[in-house]
Amino acid sequence: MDFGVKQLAVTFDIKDKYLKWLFVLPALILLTVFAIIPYLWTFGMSFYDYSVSIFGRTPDFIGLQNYEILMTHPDIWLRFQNTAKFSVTAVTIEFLFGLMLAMLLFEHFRGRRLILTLCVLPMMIAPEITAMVFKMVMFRPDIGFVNYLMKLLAIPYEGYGKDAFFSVVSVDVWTWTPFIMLMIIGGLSSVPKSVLESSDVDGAGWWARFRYVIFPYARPFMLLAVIFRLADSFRTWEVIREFLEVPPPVGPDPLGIDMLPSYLYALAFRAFKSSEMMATAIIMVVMSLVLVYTYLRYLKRIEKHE
Amino acid sequence: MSNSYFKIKNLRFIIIAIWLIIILFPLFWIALTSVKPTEATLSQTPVFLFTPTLQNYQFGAEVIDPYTNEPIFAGIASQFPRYLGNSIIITLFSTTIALSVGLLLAYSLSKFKIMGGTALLALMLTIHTVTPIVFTPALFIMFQNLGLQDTHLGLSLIYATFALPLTVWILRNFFNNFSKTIEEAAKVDGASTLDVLFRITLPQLRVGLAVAAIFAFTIAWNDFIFTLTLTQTNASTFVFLADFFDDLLRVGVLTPGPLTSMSIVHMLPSFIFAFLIQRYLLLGFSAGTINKEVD
Repeated sequence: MDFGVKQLAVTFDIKDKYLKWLFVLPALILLTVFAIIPYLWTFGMSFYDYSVSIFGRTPDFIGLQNYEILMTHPDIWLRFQNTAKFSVTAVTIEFLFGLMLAMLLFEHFRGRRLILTLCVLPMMIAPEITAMVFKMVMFRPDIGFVNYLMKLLAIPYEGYGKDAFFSVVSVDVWTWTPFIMLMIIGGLSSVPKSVLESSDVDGAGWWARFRYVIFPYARPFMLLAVIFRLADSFRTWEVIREFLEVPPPVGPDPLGIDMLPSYLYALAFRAFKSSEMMATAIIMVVMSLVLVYTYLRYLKRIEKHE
Repeated sequence: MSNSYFKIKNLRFIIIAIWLIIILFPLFWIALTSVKPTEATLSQTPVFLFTPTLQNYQFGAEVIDPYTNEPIFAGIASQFPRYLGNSIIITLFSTTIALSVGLLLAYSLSKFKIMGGTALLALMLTIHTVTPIVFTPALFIMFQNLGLQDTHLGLSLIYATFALPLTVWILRNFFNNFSKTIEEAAKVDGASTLDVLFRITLPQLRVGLAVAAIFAFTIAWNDFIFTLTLTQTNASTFVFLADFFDDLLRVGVLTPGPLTSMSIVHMLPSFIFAFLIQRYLLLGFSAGTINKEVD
């Protein structure tokens, strides 16, 4: 083996100058072929009347028409609103629970590591699997466990249909609250132990300790967690698709849960209005870009600070 | 220690316990449903006492319709091993590609000054964040033209590409933290860059490689959108089959049993991996941007 590696280095007695580009090349090829070209193609096709179902016909250039449809069509506007409604609701609840849990779990005690790992398990499950089994054994109107609990508590609740919004938000909260918790705990690991201890000795109250000792350290990470989760919640698709029950409708949305990703999917593969979908997709990409850029800038500032 | 201190401490453990129940009960309930006899899974009031059965785990066997006692969709049920095999092959293959390609890029980005390196990292974070549905029509057409539609190779390459951002961000973190002095000492002794990478740096970075590999694994193992749009039967993954069972449930043909047992089979590897890299979970879930161990 010894010989092999040496030989490799000698045979390609490559200067670092070239080596570094050689190392970048395979990744660049993969990213270009399977991500950048599809991006550019999507962007280009958003100016044509293209559909995945047309074979042989050359699509016509129609300029900004797809974007005009996008701006004026009430269905699409509705999906934007639903996306905002879902993201804000879910992330707010996750943040409150996540913050509370982080406060309770950031100090060491026996069994803490096990608890943290157990909390993280929902994030490891395939979203589609989570969506399917929750829909089937927790929220199904006749046999669902949550429905049974609600019946015991005498709360009118159906699980599917008009209560679908509650169901999808609770699946999201169940999955992603531990993420915000982990982020805040990660941030708190930079609080110096001496600061914490001295505040204990000073007999600072619970609130004062949080407000003046913990919060200043945790704040940047809270913000990072929220930005990250917001960007991530825009892509919630599997659970929405499941709770829409039938193939996602392309017209008005009776359940009030249809979001942009599921709408994009329905536009492209059910209604075959691919280029309309691509125009919407480009808007989504821009939204995500803004969030990613904000996130990165903020991250840089924190790193400089530390 | 005053009395109120103990009260607060108790309250704290009560809240943690409640949250753990919220997290774990659905998982427990899914596992329980998967070993229930058919009638118990369809009961309107939850059944906790029953004679456990492994009938839902006999995947190769025929699926019996509980209402008619006739075997149904025998063809699909017998496909189970093939779909699981597809998932394993594609996941292994894509993880290998993502790890080796990502390793080189991450090393290069962390050790050398690369023109446009920061832009490349930002681009990759964008790819990781934007919903993959955006790409599907483009990839659908591209796969048809390249003859990659419904092939293991095609799906593996896609998963490798979309796991790449995660592996690069994670590995870059480990490389950045790795002490430069050892590497420089080796270089002074006359070792080449490749020598240093393969013989000194990599053996020290086993943990980093494992973390990156496990997160690359989850990208392929947990995906649904690409197997739905880019495969029909030949290269379809396990999640695709589970979704098919779900479609049957939707029209009221099957009981929840088979779906829950399939979910358990699908979750188990991910759970084992989560326990293996528990300290570094935050690194992976924050797409490699937050480099904090939670221990």
